[in-house]
Amino acid sequence: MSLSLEEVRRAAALSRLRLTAEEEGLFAAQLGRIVAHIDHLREFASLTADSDPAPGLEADDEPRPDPRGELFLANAPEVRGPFYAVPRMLAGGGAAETDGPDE
Amino acid sequence: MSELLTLPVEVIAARVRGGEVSATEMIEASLGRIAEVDSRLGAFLGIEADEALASAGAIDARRRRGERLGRLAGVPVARKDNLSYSGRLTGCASRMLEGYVSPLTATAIERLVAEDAVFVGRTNMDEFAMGSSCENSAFQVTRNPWDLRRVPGGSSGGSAAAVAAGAVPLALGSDTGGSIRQPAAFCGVVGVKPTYGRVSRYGLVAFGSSVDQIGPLGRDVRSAALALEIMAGEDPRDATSSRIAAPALLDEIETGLGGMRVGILREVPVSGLDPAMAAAWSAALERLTRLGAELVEVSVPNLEAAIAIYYVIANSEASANLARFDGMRYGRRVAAAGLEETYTATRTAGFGHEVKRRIILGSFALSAGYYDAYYGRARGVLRALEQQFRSAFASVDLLATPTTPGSAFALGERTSDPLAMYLSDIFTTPASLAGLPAVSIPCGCDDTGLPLSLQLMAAPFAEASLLRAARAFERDFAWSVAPRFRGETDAA
Repeated sequence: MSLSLEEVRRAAALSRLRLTAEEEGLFAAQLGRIVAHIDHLREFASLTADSDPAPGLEADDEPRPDPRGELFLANAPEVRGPFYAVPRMLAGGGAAETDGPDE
Repeated sequence: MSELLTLPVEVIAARVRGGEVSATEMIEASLGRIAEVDSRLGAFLGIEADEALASAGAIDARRRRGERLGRLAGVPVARKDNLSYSGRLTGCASRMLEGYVSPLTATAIERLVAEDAVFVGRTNMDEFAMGSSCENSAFQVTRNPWDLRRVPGGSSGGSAAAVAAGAVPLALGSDTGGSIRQPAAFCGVVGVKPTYGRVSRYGLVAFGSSVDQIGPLGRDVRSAALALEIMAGEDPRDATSSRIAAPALLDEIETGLGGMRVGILREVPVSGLDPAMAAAWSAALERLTRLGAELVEVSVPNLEAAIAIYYVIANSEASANLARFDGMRYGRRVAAAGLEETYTATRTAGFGHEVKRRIILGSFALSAGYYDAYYGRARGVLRALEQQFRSAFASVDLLATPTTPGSAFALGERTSDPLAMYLSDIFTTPASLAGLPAVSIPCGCDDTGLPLSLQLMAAPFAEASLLRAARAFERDFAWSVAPRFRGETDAA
Protein backbone atom coordinates (compact mmCIF):
# COMPACT_ATOMS: atom_id res chain seq x y z
CA MET A 1 0.00 0.00 0.00
CA SER A 2 1.12 3.55 -0.53
CA LEU A 3 -0.38 6.94 0.11
CA SER A 4 -1.26 8.89 -3.00
CA LEU A 5 1.18 11.58 -4.04
CA GLU A 6 -1.61 14.07 -3.53
CA GLU A 7 -2.06 12.98 0.11
CA VAL A 8 1.68 13.30 0.74
CA ARG A 9 1.80 16.75 -0.89
CA ARG A 10 -1.17 17.92 1.18
CA ALA A 11 0.34 16.71 4.48
CA ALA A 12 3.72 18.21 3.52
CA ALA A 13 2.07 21.55 2.77
CA LEU A 14 0.32 21.47 6.15
CA SER A 15 3.75 20.79 7.66
CA ARG A 16 5.31 23.71 5.76
CA LEU A 17 7.73 21.39 4.03
CA ARG A 18 8.62 21.19 0.37
CA LEU A 19 9.51 17.76 -1.01
CA THR A 20 11.36 16.88 -4.17
CA ALA A 21 9.63 14.54 -6.61
CA GLU A 22 11.95 11.78 -5.44
CA GLU A 23 11.06 12.42 -1.79
CA GLU A 24 7.35 12.46 -2.59
CA GLY A 25 7.58 9.01 -4.13
CA LEU A 26 9.74 7.62 -1.33
CA PHE A 27 7.55 9.05 1.43
CA ALA A 28 4.36 7.88 -0.29
CA ALA A 29 5.64 4.30 -0.24
CA GLN A 30 7.15 4.42 3.26
CA LEU A 31 4.26 6.27 4.88
CA GLY A 32 1.83 3.97 3.08
CA ARG A 33 3.37 0.94 4.80
CA ILE A 34 3.32 2.73 8.14
CA VAL A 35 -0.30 3.82 7.73
CA ALA A 36 -1.24 0.25 6.73
CA HIS A 37 0.29 -0.91 10.01
CA ILE A 38 -1.60 1.82 11.89
CA ASP A 39 -4.85 0.68 10.26
CA HIS A 40 -4.63 -2.49 12.39
CA LEU A 41 -5.78 -0.34 15.32
CA ARG A 42 -9.32 -1.16 14.18
CA GLU A 43 -8.77 -4.68 15.49
CA PHE A 44 -8.16 -3.61 19.10
CA ALA A 45 -10.42 -2.72 21.99
CA SER A 46 -11.08 0.99 22.31
CA LEU A 47 -12.58 3.24 24.96
CA THR A 48 -13.97 6.70 24.49
CA ALA A 49 -11.08 9.08 24.89
CA ASP A 50 -11.14 10.97 28.15
CA SER A 51 -11.87 14.64 27.60
CA ASP A 52 -10.91 15.64 31.14
CA PRO A 53 -7.63 17.50 31.26
CA ALA A 54 -4.81 15.63 32.94
CA PRO A 55 -4.29 16.72 36.53
CA GLY A 56 -1.37 19.03 36.84
CA LEU A 57 -0.05 22.23 38.24
CA GLU A 58 -1.38 25.57 37.17
CA ALA A 59 0.84 28.59 37.20
CA ASP A 60 -0.55 31.99 38.05
CA ASP A 61 -1.46 33.73 34.82
CA GLU A 62 0.33 36.93 35.61
CA PRO A 63 2.70 38.80 33.32
CA ARG A 64 6.07 39.55 34.82
CA PRO A 65 9.35 40.81 33.45
CA ASP A 66 11.85 38.17 32.43
CA PRO A 67 15.44 39.29 32.90
CA ARG A 68 16.49 36.71 30.34
CA GLY A 69 14.84 38.59 27.49
CA GLU A 70 18.12 39.52 25.87
CA LEU A 71 19.30 35.92 26.04
CA PHE A 72 16.22 34.80 24.15
CA LEU A 73 16.67 37.50 21.54
CA ALA A 74 20.32 36.58 21.15
CA ASN A 75 19.27 33.41 19.31
CA ALA A 76 17.03 35.18 16.82
CA PRO A 77 18.13 35.24 13.19
CA GLU A 78 17.24 38.93 13.13
CA VAL A 79 16.12 41.46 15.74
CA ARG A 80 15.24 45.12 15.83
CA GLY A 81 15.53 46.65 19.28
CA PRO A 82 13.62 44.44 21.71
CA PHE A 83 11.65 42.75 18.89
CA TYR A 84 12.05 39.77 16.60
CA ALA A 85 12.29 40.99 13.00
CA VAL A 86 10.38 38.88 10.49
CA PRO A 87 9.87 38.98 6.73
CA ARG A 88 6.89 40.70 5.15
CA MET A 89 3.73 38.55 5.36
CA LEU A 90 2.60 39.15 1.80
CA ALA A 91 4.44 37.59 -1.08
CA GLY A 92 6.88 39.89 -2.76
CA GLY A 93 8.20 41.28 0.51
CA GLY A 94 11.87 41.55 1.08
CA ALA A 95 14.20 41.24 3.98
CA ALA A 96 13.10 42.07 7.48
CA GLU A 97 14.94 45.37 7.58
CA THR A 98 12.45 46.77 5.09
CA ASP A 99 9.45 46.10 7.25
CA GLY A 100 10.55 45.41 10.81
CA PRO A 101 8.51 46.90 13.62
CA ASP A 102 9.13 50.47 14.59
CA GLU A 103 11.34 50.91 17.58
CA MET B 1 40.56 4.09 31.51
CA SER B 2 40.56 5.65 34.93
CA GLU B 3 39.04 3.09 37.27
CA LEU B 4 37.45 5.97 39.14
CA LEU B 5 35.05 6.50 36.23
CA THR B 6 33.69 2.97 36.60
CA LEU B 7 32.73 3.35 40.26
CA PRO B 8 29.14 3.92 41.41
CA VAL B 9 28.49 7.64 41.51
CA GLU B 10 27.84 7.70 45.26
CA VAL B 11 31.33 6.20 45.80
CA ILE B 12 32.92 8.80 43.52
CA ALA B 13 31.13 11.60 45.36
CA ALA B 14 32.14 10.20 48.76
CA ARG B 15 35.78 10.15 47.69
CA VAL B 16 35.57 13.73 46.44
CA ARG B 17 33.89 14.84 49.66
CA GLY B 18 36.56 13.01 51.66
CA GLY B 19 39.41 14.54 49.70
CA GLU B 20 40.75 11.22 48.34
CA VAL B 21 40.35 12.60 44.86
CA SER B 22 39.52 16.11 43.75
CA ALA B 23 36.62 17.11 41.54
CA THR B 24 39.20 18.50 39.12
CA GLU B 25 40.93 15.13 38.92
CA MET B 26 37.58 13.46 38.22
CA ILE B 27 36.79 15.87 35.41
CA GLU B 28 40.30 15.56 33.97
CA ALA B 29 39.90 11.79 34.01
CA SER B 30 36.59 12.05 32.19
CA LEU B 31 37.93 14.51 29.60
CA GLY B 32 40.96 12.25 29.12
CA ARG B 33 38.82 9.20 28.52
CA ILE B 34 36.61 11.14 26.09
CA ALA B 35 39.75 12.18 24.17
CA GLU B 36 40.90 8.56 24.16
CA VAL B 37 37.72 6.93 22.84
CA ASP B 38 35.44 9.44 21.20
CA SER B 39 37.16 9.62 17.83
CA ARG B 40 36.07 5.99 17.47
CA LEU B 41 32.63 6.32 19.08
CA GLY B 42 31.28 9.71 18.06
CA ALA B 43 29.28 9.85 21.29
CA PHE B 44 29.80 13.57 21.93
CA LEU B 45 28.64 16.53 19.86
CA GLY B 46 30.43 19.00 22.10
CA ILE B 47 32.82 18.94 25.03
CA GLU B 48 32.48 21.69 27.63
CA ALA B 49 35.95 21.33 29.14
CA ASP B 50 36.46 24.92 30.30
CA GLU B 51 33.09 25.12 31.97
CA ALA B 52 33.49 21.68 33.56
CA LEU B 53 36.97 22.42 34.91
CA ALA B 54 35.78 25.77 36.27
CA SER B 55 32.88 24.06 38.07
CA ALA B 56 35.19 21.37 39.43
CA GLY B 57 37.67 24.01 40.63
CA ALA B 58 34.87 25.79 42.48
CA ILE B 59 33.80 22.53 44.14
CA ASP B 60 37.38 21.83 45.23
CA ALA B 61 37.68 25.36 46.63
CA ARG B 62 34.51 24.86 48.64
CA ARG B 63 35.88 21.63 50.06
CA ARG B 64 39.09 23.34 51.07
CA ARG B 65 37.03 25.96 52.89
CA GLY B 66 35.30 23.19 54.81
CA GLU B 67 31.94 23.63 53.12
CA ARG B 68 29.60 20.68 52.73
CA LEU B 69 29.55 19.16 49.25
CA GLY B 70 26.58 17.53 47.54
CA ARG B 71 25.62 13.93 46.88
CA LEU B 72 27.13 14.04 43.39
CA ALA B 73 30.27 15.98 44.28
CA GLY B 74 32.63 15.96 41.32
CA VAL B 75 30.71 13.33 39.33
CA PRO B 76 31.15 13.92 35.58
CA VAL B 77 27.81 13.81 33.75
CA ALA B 78 26.90 14.04 30.07
CA ARG B 79 23.61 15.44 28.79
CA LYS B 80 21.69 14.53 25.69
CA ASP B 81 21.72 17.36 23.16
CA ASN B 82 18.01 18.11 23.72
CA LEU B 83 18.50 19.17 27.34
CA SER B 84 19.00 22.87 27.90
CA TYR B 85 21.88 24.29 29.91
CA SER B 86 22.01 28.07 30.15
CA GLY B 87 24.77 29.64 28.10
CA ARG B 88 25.66 26.36 26.37
CA LEU B 89 24.83 24.97 22.95
CA THR B 90 21.70 22.79 22.73
CA GLY B 91 21.00 21.56 19.24
CA CYS B 92 18.95 18.33 19.22
CA ALA B 93 21.53 17.02 16.71
CA SER B 94 19.78 19.12 14.07
CA ARG B 95 20.95 21.65 11.51
CA MET B 96 17.82 23.57 12.47
CA LEU B 97 19.33 24.51 15.86
CA GLU B 98 22.97 24.79 14.86
CA GLY B 99 24.55 27.48 17.03
CA TYR B 100 21.58 27.78 19.38
CA VAL B 101 22.70 28.82 22.88
CA SER B 102 20.13 27.99 25.52
CA PRO B 103 18.90 30.85 27.71
CA LEU B 104 17.67 28.45 30.39
CA THR B 105 18.68 25.35 32.31
CA ALA B 106 16.55 22.22 32.54
CA THR B 107 15.25 21.61 36.05
CA ALA B 108 16.71 18.09 35.99
CA ILE B 109 20.18 19.51 35.28
CA GLU B 110 19.73 22.31 37.81
CA ARG B 111 18.96 19.78 40.54
CA LEU B 112 21.97 17.59 39.71
CA VAL B 113 24.26 20.62 39.64
CA ALA B 114 22.85 21.69 43.03
CA GLU B 115 24.29 18.37 44.30
CA ASP B 116 27.65 19.27 42.70
CA ALA B 117 27.45 17.12 39.59
CA VAL B 118 29.62 18.53 36.77
CA PHE B 119 28.39 18.47 33.17
CA VAL B 120 31.18 17.76 30.71
CA GLY B 121 29.44 17.77 27.34
CA ARG B 122 26.43 17.08 25.15
CA THR B 123 25.85 13.75 23.52
CA ASN B 124 24.76 12.71 20.06
CA MET B 125 21.20 11.61 19.41
CA ASP B 126 18.78 10.99 16.60
CA GLU B 127 17.66 14.37 15.34
CA PHE B 128 14.97 15.76 17.70
CA ALA B 129 14.98 12.32 19.42
CA MET B 130 13.38 10.67 16.39
CA GLY B 131 15.04 7.34 15.88
CA SER B 132 16.24 4.12 17.43
CA SER B 133 19.83 3.98 16.20
CA CYS B 134 21.52 7.39 16.49
CA GLU B 135 21.92 7.28 12.70
CA ASN B 136 19.50 10.17 12.22
CA SER B 137 21.82 12.78 13.74
CA ALA B 138 22.54 15.58 11.29
CA PHE B 139 26.20 15.58 12.33
CA GLN B 140 27.61 12.14 12.99
CA VAL B 141 26.93 8.48 13.55
CA THR B 142 27.59 7.10 17.02
CA ARG B 143 29.01 3.59 17.26
CA ASN B 144 28.39 0.92 19.84
CA PRO B 145 31.47 0.48 22.09
CA TRP B 146 30.92 -3.27 22.25
CA ASP B 147 31.16 -3.53 18.46
CA LEU B 148 31.92 -0.45 16.40
CA ARG B 149 30.05 -1.88 13.41
CA ARG B 150 26.81 -1.81 15.41
CA VAL B 151 24.44 0.97 16.42
CA PRO B 152 24.35 2.13 20.05
CA GLY B 153 20.56 2.40 19.87
CA GLY B 154 18.63 5.60 20.07
CA SER B 155 17.65 8.15 20.41
CA SER B 156 19.87 8.62 23.51
CA GLY B 157 22.62 6.59 21.84
CA GLY B 158 25.42 9.06 22.58
CA SER B 159 24.61 9.03 26.29
CA ALA B 160 24.48 5.23 26.42
CA ALA B 161 27.74 4.82 24.48
CA ALA B 162 29.49 7.42 26.67
CA VAL B 163 28.52 5.59 29.86
CA ALA B 164 29.36 2.14 28.50
CA ALA B 165 32.77 3.32 27.29
CA GLY B 166 33.63 4.71 30.73
CA ALA B 167 33.77 8.31 29.55
CA VAL B 168 31.26 9.38 32.19
CA PRO B 169 29.71 7.35 35.00
CA LEU B 170 26.32 8.99 34.48
CA ALA B 171 24.43 10.56 31.59
CA LEU B 172 21.01 12.02 30.98
CA GLY B 173 18.71 10.91 28.22
CA SER B 174 15.11 11.41 27.29
CA ASP B 175 12.62 8.66 26.58
CA THR B 176 9.56 9.11 24.39
CA GLY B 177 9.06 5.52 23.20
CA GLY B 178 12.14 3.75 24.54
CA SER B 179 14.91 6.25 23.84
CA ILE B 180 16.63 5.63 27.19
CA ARG B 181 15.91 1.93 27.65
CA GLN B 182 16.71 0.67 24.15
CA PRO B 183 20.18 2.30 23.89
CA ALA B 184 20.88 1.27 27.50
CA ALA B 185 20.09 -2.31 26.43
CA PHE B 186 22.22 -2.16 23.29
CA CYS B 187 25.16 -0.73 25.24
CA GLY B 188 24.85 -2.94 28.32
CA VAL B 189 24.13 -0.22 30.87
CA VAL B 190 21.19 0.67 33.11
CA GLY B 191 18.54 3.09 31.84
CA VAL B 192 15.50 4.35 33.72
CA LYS B 193 12.37 5.92 32.25
CA PRO B 194 10.53 7.49 35.19
CA THR B 195 6.77 7.72 35.59
CA TYR B 196 5.33 10.48 33.42
CA GLY B 197 5.35 13.58 35.63
CA ARG B 198 8.02 12.29 38.02
CA VAL B 199 10.80 14.44 36.53
CA SER B 200 10.14 17.94 35.29
CA ARG B 201 10.32 18.35 31.52
CA TYR B 202 11.24 22.03 31.85
CA GLY B 203 14.23 22.60 29.59
CA LEU B 204 13.71 19.45 27.53
CA VAL B 205 13.09 20.29 23.87
CA ALA B 206 9.62 18.85 23.29
CA PHE B 207 8.96 15.93 20.92
CA GLY B 208 5.82 14.12 22.17
CA SER B 209 4.77 16.10 25.20
CA SER B 210 2.35 13.53 26.61
CA VAL B 211 5.07 10.85 26.66
CA ASP B 212 8.47 12.60 26.93
CA GLN B 213 10.42 11.97 30.14
CA ILE B 214 13.98 12.72 31.22
CA GLY B 215 15.87 9.88 32.87
CA PRO B 216 19.33 8.65 33.86
CA LEU B 217 21.70 6.15 32.27
CA GLY B 218 24.35 4.65 34.53
CA ARG B 219 26.67 1.71 34.89
CA ASP B 220 24.66 0.31 37.81
CA VAL B 221 21.20 0.56 39.34
CA ARG B 222 22.25 2.51 42.44
CA SER B 223 23.84 5.25 40.34
CA ALA B 224 20.74 5.64 38.19
CA ALA B 225 18.52 5.54 41.29
CA LEU B 226 20.47 8.30 43.03
CA ALA B 227 20.30 10.54 39.98
CA LEU B 228 16.56 9.94 39.64
CA GLU B 229 15.98 10.61 43.33
CA ILE B 230 17.70 13.98 42.96
CA MET B 231 15.92 14.98 39.74
CA ALA B 232 12.43 13.88 40.80
CA GLY B 233 9.72 16.06 42.23
CA GLU B 234 7.30 18.85 41.63
CA ASP B 235 8.38 21.79 39.52
CA PRO B 236 6.11 24.81 39.05
CA ARG B 237 7.73 25.39 35.64
CA ASP B 238 6.26 22.13 34.26
CA ALA B 239 2.48 21.96 34.61
CA THR B 240 2.59 18.19 34.10
CA SER B 241 5.07 17.51 36.90
CA SER B 242 3.51 15.56 39.71
CA ARG B 243 2.88 16.74 43.26
CA ILE B 244 3.51 13.23 44.54
CA ALA B 245 6.53 13.44 46.82
CA ALA B 246 9.87 12.36 45.36
CA PRO B 247 10.83 8.97 46.78
CA ALA B 248 13.95 8.07 48.76
CA LEU B 249 14.98 5.41 46.28
CA LEU B 250 18.18 4.21 47.96
CA ASP B 251 16.69 3.55 51.41
CA GLU B 252 15.33 0.09 50.65
CA ILE B 253 17.07 -0.65 47.38
CA GLU B 254 19.09 -3.55 48.84
CA THR B 255 16.13 -5.36 50.37
CA GLY B 256 15.60 -7.79 47.49
CA LEU B 257 12.59 -8.83 45.52
CA GLY B 258 11.44 -11.77 47.63
CA GLY B 259 7.66 -12.03 47.61
CA MET B 260 7.16 -9.73 44.67
CA ARG B 261 4.68 -10.85 42.04
CA VAL B 262 6.12 -10.35 38.56
CA GLY B 263 3.71 -10.41 35.64
CA ILE B 264 4.72 -12.08 32.39
CA LEU B 265 2.71 -10.74 29.50
CA ARG B 266 0.92 -13.37 27.45
CA GLU B 267 1.20 -11.05 24.43
CA VAL B 268 5.02 -10.96 24.40
CA PRO B 269 5.87 -12.82 21.19
CA VAL B 270 8.68 -15.11 22.38
CA SER B 271 8.71 -16.64 18.91
CA GLY B 272 9.69 -13.22 17.55
CA LEU B 273 12.78 -12.94 19.72
CA ASP B 274 16.25 -13.57 18.39
CA PRO B 275 17.41 -16.99 19.67
CA ALA B 276 20.00 -15.43 21.99
CA MET B 277 17.39 -13.08 23.44
CA ALA B 278 14.94 -15.95 23.88
CA ALA B 279 17.60 -17.84 25.88
CA ALA B 280 18.54 -14.78 27.94
CA TRP B 281 14.86 -14.04 28.59
CA SER B 282 14.26 -17.58 29.80
CA ALA B 283 17.32 -17.40 32.05
CA ALA B 284 16.18 -14.03 33.41
CA LEU B 285 12.81 -15.48 34.41
CA GLU B 286 14.57 -18.36 36.17
CA ARG B 287 16.77 -15.87 37.98
CA LEU B 288 13.77 -13.80 39.10
CA THR B 289 12.14 -16.95 40.46
CA ARG B 290 15.30 -18.01 42.26
CA LEU B 291 15.50 -14.57 43.85
CA GLY B 292 12.06 -15.09 45.35
CA ALA B 293 9.69 -13.55 42.82
CA GLU B 294 6.45 -15.25 41.96
CA LEU B 295 5.87 -15.24 38.20
CA VAL B 296 2.26 -14.71 37.15
CA GLU B 297 0.92 -14.74 33.60
CA VAL B 298 -1.14 -11.64 32.85
CA SER B 299 -2.74 -10.25 29.74
CA VAL B 300 -2.62 -6.77 28.23
CA PRO B 301 -4.34 -7.41 24.90
CA ASN B 302 -3.66 -3.99 23.42
CA LEU B 303 0.10 -4.39 23.90
CA GLU B 304 0.43 -5.40 20.26
CA ALA B 305 -1.17 -2.10 19.24
CA ALA B 306 1.47 -0.06 21.05
CA ILE B 307 3.68 0.72 18.05
CA ALA B 308 0.73 1.90 15.97
CA ILE B 309 -0.66 4.02 18.82
CA TYR B 310 2.76 5.45 19.50
CA TYR B 311 3.48 6.51 15.94
CA VAL B 312 0.15 8.31 15.69
CA ILE B 313 0.20 10.03 19.10
CA ALA B 314 3.91 10.91 19.32
CA ASN B 315 4.14 12.11 15.72
CA SER B 316 0.94 14.12 15.94
CA GLU B 317 2.38 15.88 18.96
CA ALA B 318 5.71 16.26 17.18
CA SER B 319 4.06 17.90 14.19
CA ALA B 320 2.63 20.52 16.56
CA ASN B 321 5.71 20.88 18.78
CA LEU B 322 8.12 21.29 15.89
CA ALA B 323 5.96 23.94 14.26
CA ARG B 324 7.90 26.43 16.38
CA PHE B 325 11.00 25.88 14.26
CA ASP B 326 10.20 28.37 11.56
CA GLY B 327 13.29 30.55 11.42
CA MET B 328 11.80 33.48 13.28
CA ARG B 329 12.89 33.29 16.93
CA TYR B 330 15.82 30.88 16.97
CA GLY B 331 17.80 28.54 14.84
CA ARG B 332 18.55 28.96 11.20
CA ARG B 333 16.59 31.06 8.73
CA VAL B 334 16.62 30.52 5.00
CA ALA B 335 15.61 33.78 3.39
CA ALA B 336 12.83 33.61 0.79
CA ALA B 337 10.21 35.90 -0.69
CA GLY B 338 7.75 36.58 2.13
CA LEU B 339 6.91 35.04 5.46
CA GLU B 340 5.21 31.82 4.33
CA GLU B 341 7.97 31.03 1.85
CA THR B 342 10.58 31.68 4.53
CA TYR B 343 8.89 29.23 6.88
CA THR B 344 8.85 26.54 4.23
CA ALA B 345 12.36 27.16 2.95
CA THR B 346 13.75 27.17 6.49
CA ARG B 347 12.04 23.96 7.56
CA THR B 348 12.81 22.17 4.31
CA ALA B 349 16.52 22.97 4.67
CA GLY B 350 16.72 22.54 8.46
CA PHE B 351 15.08 19.17 9.09
CA GLY B 352 16.46 15.79 8.10
CA HIS B 353 14.57 12.97 6.40
CA GLU B 354 13.28 11.15 9.50
CA VAL B 355 12.01 14.33 11.11
CA LYS B 356 10.22 15.32 7.91
CA ARG B 357 8.69 11.86 7.59
CA ARG B 358 7.34 11.99 11.14
CA ILE B 359 6.05 15.56 10.93
CA ILE B 360 4.23 14.68 7.72
CA LEU B 361 2.77 11.54 9.31
CA GLY B 362 1.60 13.59 12.29
CA SER B 363 0.08 16.27 10.07
CA PHE B 364 -1.66 13.55 8.07
CA ALA B 365 -3.12 11.94 11.24
CA LEU B 366 -4.41 15.30 12.49
CA SER B 367 -5.75 16.58 9.18
CA ALA B 368 -9.39 17.07 8.29
CA GLY B 369 -10.91 13.84 7.02
CA TYR B 370 -8.35 11.63 8.80
CA TYR B 371 -8.40 12.87 12.40
CA ASP B 372 -11.09 10.49 13.70
CA ALA B 373 -9.73 7.49 11.80
CA TYR B 374 -6.17 7.93 13.05
CA TYR B 375 -5.66 10.29 16.00
CA GLY B 376 -9.09 9.70 17.51
CA ARG B 377 -8.85 5.91 17.15
CA ALA B 378 -5.30 5.84 18.57
CA ARG B 379 -6.46 7.80 21.64
CA GLY B 380 -9.30 5.33 22.18
CA VAL B 381 -7.08 2.24 21.88
CA LEU B 382 -4.55 3.92 24.18
CA ARG B 383 -7.23 4.50 26.80
CA ALA B 384 -8.09 0.79 26.70
CA LEU B 385 -4.37 -0.06 26.97
CA GLU B 386 -4.05 2.12 30.08
CA GLN B 387 -7.05 0.39 31.65
CA GLN B 388 -5.57 -3.03 30.83
CA PHE B 389 -2.32 -2.04 32.55
CA ARG B 390 -4.28 -0.89 35.62
CA SER B 391 -6.01 -4.27 35.74
CA ALA B 392 -2.66 -6.07 35.43
CA PHE B 393 -1.10 -4.08 38.25
CA ALA B 394 -4.03 -4.99 40.49
CA SER B 395 -2.55 -8.48 40.67
CA VAL B 396 1.20 -7.99 40.19
CA ASP B 397 3.93 -5.64 41.48
CA LEU B 398 5.97 -5.57 38.29
CA LEU B 399 5.79 -6.59 34.65
CA ALA B 400 8.80 -8.10 32.88
CA THR B 401 9.67 -8.21 29.18
CA PRO B 402 12.87 -8.24 27.16
CA THR B 403 13.90 -4.63 26.47
CA THR B 404 14.45 -5.40 22.77
CA PRO B 405 13.85 -8.41 20.53
CA GLY B 406 17.61 -8.85 20.02
CA SER B 407 21.06 -7.31 20.38
CA ALA B 408 22.29 -4.14 18.65
CA PHE B 409 21.81 -4.28 14.90
CA ALA B 410 24.39 -3.33 12.30
CA LEU B 411 24.92 0.26 11.20
CA GLY B 412 22.83 0.93 8.09
CA GLU B 413 20.83 -2.28 8.45
CA ARG B 414 17.44 -0.62 8.95
CA THR B 415 17.84 2.91 7.63
CA SER B 416 15.93 2.23 4.43
CA ASP B 417 12.99 0.57 6.16
CA PRO B 418 11.52 2.89 8.79
CA LEU B 419 8.72 0.48 9.72
CA ALA B 420 11.24 -2.26 10.57
CA MET B 421 13.12 0.28 12.68
CA TYR B 422 9.91 1.30 14.47
CA LEU B 423 8.90 -2.31 15.19
CA SER B 424 12.12 -2.90 17.14
CA ASP B 425 10.59 -0.66 19.86
CA ILE B 426 7.74 -3.12 20.50
CA PHE B 427 8.60 -3.70 24.17
CA THR B 428 9.48 -0.16 25.18
CA THR B 429 6.61 1.89 23.73
CA PRO B 430 3.84 0.48 26.01
CA ALA B 431 5.34 1.90 29.23
CA SER B 432 5.82 5.27 27.52
CA LEU B 433 2.23 5.40 26.33
CA ALA B 434 0.81 4.40 29.71
CA GLY B 435 3.18 6.71 31.62
CA LEU B 436 4.68 3.81 33.60
CA PRO B 437 8.15 3.77 35.14
CA ALA B 438 10.46 1.20 33.55
CA VAL B 439 14.08 0.15 33.79
CA SER B 440 16.38 -1.72 31.42
CA ILE B 441 19.10 -3.86 33.03
CA PRO B 442 21.58 -6.23 31.39
CA CYS B 443 20.58 -9.90 31.58
CA GLY B 444 22.90 -11.68 29.15
CA CYS B 445 24.79 -11.47 25.88
CA ASP B 446 24.61 -13.04 22.47
CA ASP B 447 27.25 -15.35 21.02
CA THR B 448 29.35 -12.38 19.87
CA GLY B 449 29.32 -10.78 23.32
CA LEU B 450 26.74 -8.07 22.59
CA PRO B 451 24.59 -7.17 25.60
CA LEU B 452 20.97 -8.24 26.01
CA SER B 453 18.64 -6.71 28.58
CA LEU B 454 15.59 -7.23 30.70
CA GLN B 455 12.91 -4.57 31.11
CA LEU B 456 10.90 -4.23 34.31
CA MET B 457 7.84 -1.98 34.49
CA ALA B 458 5.86 -0.87 37.53
CA ALA B 459 2.65 0.96 38.32
CA PRO B 460 2.86 4.76 38.16
CA PHE B 461 5.12 6.26 40.85
CA ALA B 462 6.29 2.81 42.06
CA GLU B 463 9.94 3.53 41.19
CA ALA B 464 11.11 2.36 44.63
CA SER B 465 9.95 -1.24 44.15
CA LEU B 466 10.96 -1.14 40.48
CA LEU B 467 14.56 -0.24 41.29
CA ARG B 468 14.68 -2.53 44.33
CA ALA B 469 13.89 -5.45 42.03
CA ALA B 470 16.35 -4.23 39.39
CA ARG B 471 19.08 -3.95 42.01
CA ALA B 472 18.40 -7.48 43.28
CA PHE B 473 18.63 -8.82 39.73
CA GLU B 474 21.80 -6.84 39.02
CA ARG B 475 23.49 -8.00 42.22
CA ASP B 476 22.82 -11.63 41.36
CA PHE B 477 23.69 -11.39 37.67
CA ALA B 478 26.96 -9.54 38.32
CA TRP B 479 27.28 -8.00 34.84
CA SER B 480 30.48 -6.20 33.96
CA VAL B 481 30.29 -3.15 31.70
CA ALA B 482 33.47 -3.87 29.78
CA PRO B 483 33.03 -3.15 26.08
CA ARG B 484 35.86 -4.32 23.85
CA PHE B 485 35.55 -1.97 20.87
CA ARG B 486 35.37 -4.90 18.45
CA GLY B 487 35.40 -4.23 14.72
CA GLU B 488 37.93 -1.44 15.06
CA THR B 489 39.48 -1.98 11.64
CA ASP B 490 36.19 -2.47 9.81
CA ALA B 491 34.71 0.64 11.40
CA ALA B 492 37.57 2.92 10.47
